[in-house]
Amino acid sequence: MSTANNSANLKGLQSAMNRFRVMAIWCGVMSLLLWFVNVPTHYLIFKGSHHYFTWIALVHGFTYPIYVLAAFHYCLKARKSFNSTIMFILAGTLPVASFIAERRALAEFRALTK
Amino acid sequence: MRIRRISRSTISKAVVALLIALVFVELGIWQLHRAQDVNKAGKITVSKDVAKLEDISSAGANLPPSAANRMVEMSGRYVKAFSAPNQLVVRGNGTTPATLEVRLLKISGDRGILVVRGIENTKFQTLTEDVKVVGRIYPRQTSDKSQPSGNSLTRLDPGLVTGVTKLSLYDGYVIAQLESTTYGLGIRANRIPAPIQISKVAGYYWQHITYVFIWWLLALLVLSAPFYNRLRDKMGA
Repeated sequence: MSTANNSANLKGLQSAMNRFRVMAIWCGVMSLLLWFVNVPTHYLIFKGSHHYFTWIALVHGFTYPIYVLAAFHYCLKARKSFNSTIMFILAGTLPVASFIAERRALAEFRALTK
Repeated sequence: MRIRRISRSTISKAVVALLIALVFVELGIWQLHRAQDVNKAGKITVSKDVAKLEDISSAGANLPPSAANRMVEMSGRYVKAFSAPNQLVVRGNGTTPATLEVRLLKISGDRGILVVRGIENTKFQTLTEDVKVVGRIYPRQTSDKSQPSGNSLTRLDPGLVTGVTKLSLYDGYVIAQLESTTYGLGIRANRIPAPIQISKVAGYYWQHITYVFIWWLLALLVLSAPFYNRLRDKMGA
């Protein structure tokens, strides 16, 4: 019974982690585009006169809440501390941080299933 | 019956969580208002009728939002002339900087309003008779377009000429489209277009709505903080 429970819990954790990993990679890419394409072109090149890359901010804005929910769910499943959960959520706002969070989640899961 | 005592640290944590959540809710409301502003700014409808200036605005008072962008007419005499350098003038699809000729029109009852006659000519046009002006009225400019010098206006703002006249001034300024003498003779000038000015509220409607959702989601997460450990123990793998 206990083994069956463990297996179900692990499966749940893996699903949550996979969802988190997808959203972390997506948010990382969108953050890179936001910080290094949208913001510099808007303020330094077009200076507000054109909005060719505004879609980046829009898409990032719409998908970040999904990342937040995925990160929160993963952290609950992985039994992370509240501070750690906050860090995982904030990782979605910085260009490279979400990639690091994704790698860490994967490493922790592999260590758990070894 | 046992009564469970709530520790001070629990209460302080709950208060802090509540305060942070309130800040996030407020930020969401702020973004919601921004979204509403963007929505309103894109739906400007301006009456095409020419109104009398005194019917839609009053001297010495702020320009009512409903009066901005209206076509207005007024009669009076020019009493002062200024130039306004580096003003952006609509040309085709873009804008070009130009020095504008601005005059102070004295209207009956010791009132006055700034009138942009057009692009400044090298030859000064003397206008001593009464004139009738038809043009579009705009809110005063709030940012300087040039450095202060001599008789020039750094921006189109009646506040800048209060020191040189005793007239009670109307807020905003008018870009003249037609000028005529009291006999009905048209007065020529290097006119500039007077398009309807859409107030620039930064951002897009859906972008602000997204931020509303994010702030409120964060507020919800903060509110869940006091129950986080219980939730984790229940859901944890």
